[in-house]
Amino acid sequence: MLVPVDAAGLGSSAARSRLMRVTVASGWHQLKPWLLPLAVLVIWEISARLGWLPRRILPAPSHVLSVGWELTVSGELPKHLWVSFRRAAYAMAIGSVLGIGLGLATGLFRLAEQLLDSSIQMLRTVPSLALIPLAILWFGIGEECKLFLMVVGAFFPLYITTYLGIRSIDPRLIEVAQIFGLTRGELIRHVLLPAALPSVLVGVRMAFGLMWMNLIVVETIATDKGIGYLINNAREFMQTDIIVLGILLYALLGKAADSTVRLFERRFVTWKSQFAGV
Amino acid sequence: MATNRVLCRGVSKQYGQSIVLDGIDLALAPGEAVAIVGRSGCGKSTLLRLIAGLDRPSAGSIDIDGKPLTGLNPHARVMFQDAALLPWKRVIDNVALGLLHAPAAQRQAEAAHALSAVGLGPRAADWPSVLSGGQRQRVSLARALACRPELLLLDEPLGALDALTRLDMQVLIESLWQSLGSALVLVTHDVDEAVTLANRILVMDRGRWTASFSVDLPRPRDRTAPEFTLLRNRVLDAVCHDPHRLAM
Repeated sequence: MLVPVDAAGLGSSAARSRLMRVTVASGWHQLKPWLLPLAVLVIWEISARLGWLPRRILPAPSHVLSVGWELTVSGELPKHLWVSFRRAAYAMAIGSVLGIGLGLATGLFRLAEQLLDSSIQMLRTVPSLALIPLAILWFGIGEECKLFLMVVGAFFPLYITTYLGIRSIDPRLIEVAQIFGLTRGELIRHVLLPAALPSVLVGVRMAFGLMWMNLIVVETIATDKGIGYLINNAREFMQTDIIVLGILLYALLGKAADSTVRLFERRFVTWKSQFAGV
Repeated sequence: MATNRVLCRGVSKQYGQSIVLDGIDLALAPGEAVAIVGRSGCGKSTLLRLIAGLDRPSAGSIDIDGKPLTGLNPHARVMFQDAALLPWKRVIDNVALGLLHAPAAQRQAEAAHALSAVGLGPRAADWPSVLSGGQRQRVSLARALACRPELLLLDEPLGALDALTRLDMQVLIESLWQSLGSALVLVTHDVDEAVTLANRILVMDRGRWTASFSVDLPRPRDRTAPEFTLLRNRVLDAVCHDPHRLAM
């Protein structure tokens, strides 16, 4: 609610304590999602310190953190992190262009749908990791092979959600656009694309998930850079702390990607009133 | 003699085996307000869709301003029972939808004008999802009026509204129609609404006209006047009278 400042009487102590309550309440609200991970960390730390968890099985979070710090200072960690990040960014970019592009084509044009959709749906059912041997034969064991498998992971969710987003639009709205004299291009721009956007963004989040999974797998095959390599290498030397560090980094990067998409959602899908849970 | 804004001759529409419209004739003069009443499923909305150019007749012809209608009717604007606003456009941009081809300044001015004509000027920047049903219908009306159409087609525009909002909307529609001077076709099952708004009432049953009434009451119409009640009862009789249906 918007209230003029003087009318709200911020000088009065009642108003101040109200403001305080609001601040505390919103702070509590933002804290809630972090409670579970924090609790796990605390319990984990205590168990490790008390010796219930052998270091070889699961080192304490503080130890993992200090290992992470050492690797950062030595420049080792930033190097691998950057390589993984770059792979992810390329794969997402290529996957988005292909997935959203083809989804738009089959969603908008019946001819494209008839030509492409059933073939794409057929390929979709093939688990992308089953393509690893083929990808190695085609591209060798270099970057192209990794990129290919990650793009495949990102492609299908983007394709399906874009196509469905366009196809599930209320036909009445298309009639309205026709009655009000919108051209074909205007219909696409003002009606079909905005209608598909929420669905596409769900696809982006799912694509991140699958692409990430494939990244982790491809970074364990024949590579000397990336977080996956770091983890795999650490396994050879039984460095549990580095393995745990790598896993935590994957979790953080995944969360960061997801948060970015949600930020995007809040910015561009403000019109949609959503069920917020009870 | 001025040409008819709409002239339907022997218009029929058939979906598969079922005949929805069966040889309909209709002449609509510029500035005239015609109400089409009938039970649900009698074909009245189908006729409206044909006049809008959203569907093609199976037989017969429709002329708009003396020219046969092919494709969409560029002079017509339709208002549906559900407001059918674009949820991702703010209220003002929804109103401006029919003005996309106008220069930006003119588009803004005309949309703002239409929106304030329906009394929703202050809601210009809101999303449709936060409006009430009646407000959405008013936005829908503003959208239809913003391009000053020569023909306004209302397909049960107030069917989903509560009784009080409906009365307000009828007053609003009447005053806007009068100031605009466009021809109006109102499809409704509410006989009171038809008597309140129309110059002429046509009753449809199973795709044919079964009765026609001209309404010569002074505007704005007084619902409590004996003439109003008398005419309403006659129209109601015509709508309910059906020799084929079992007595209830």
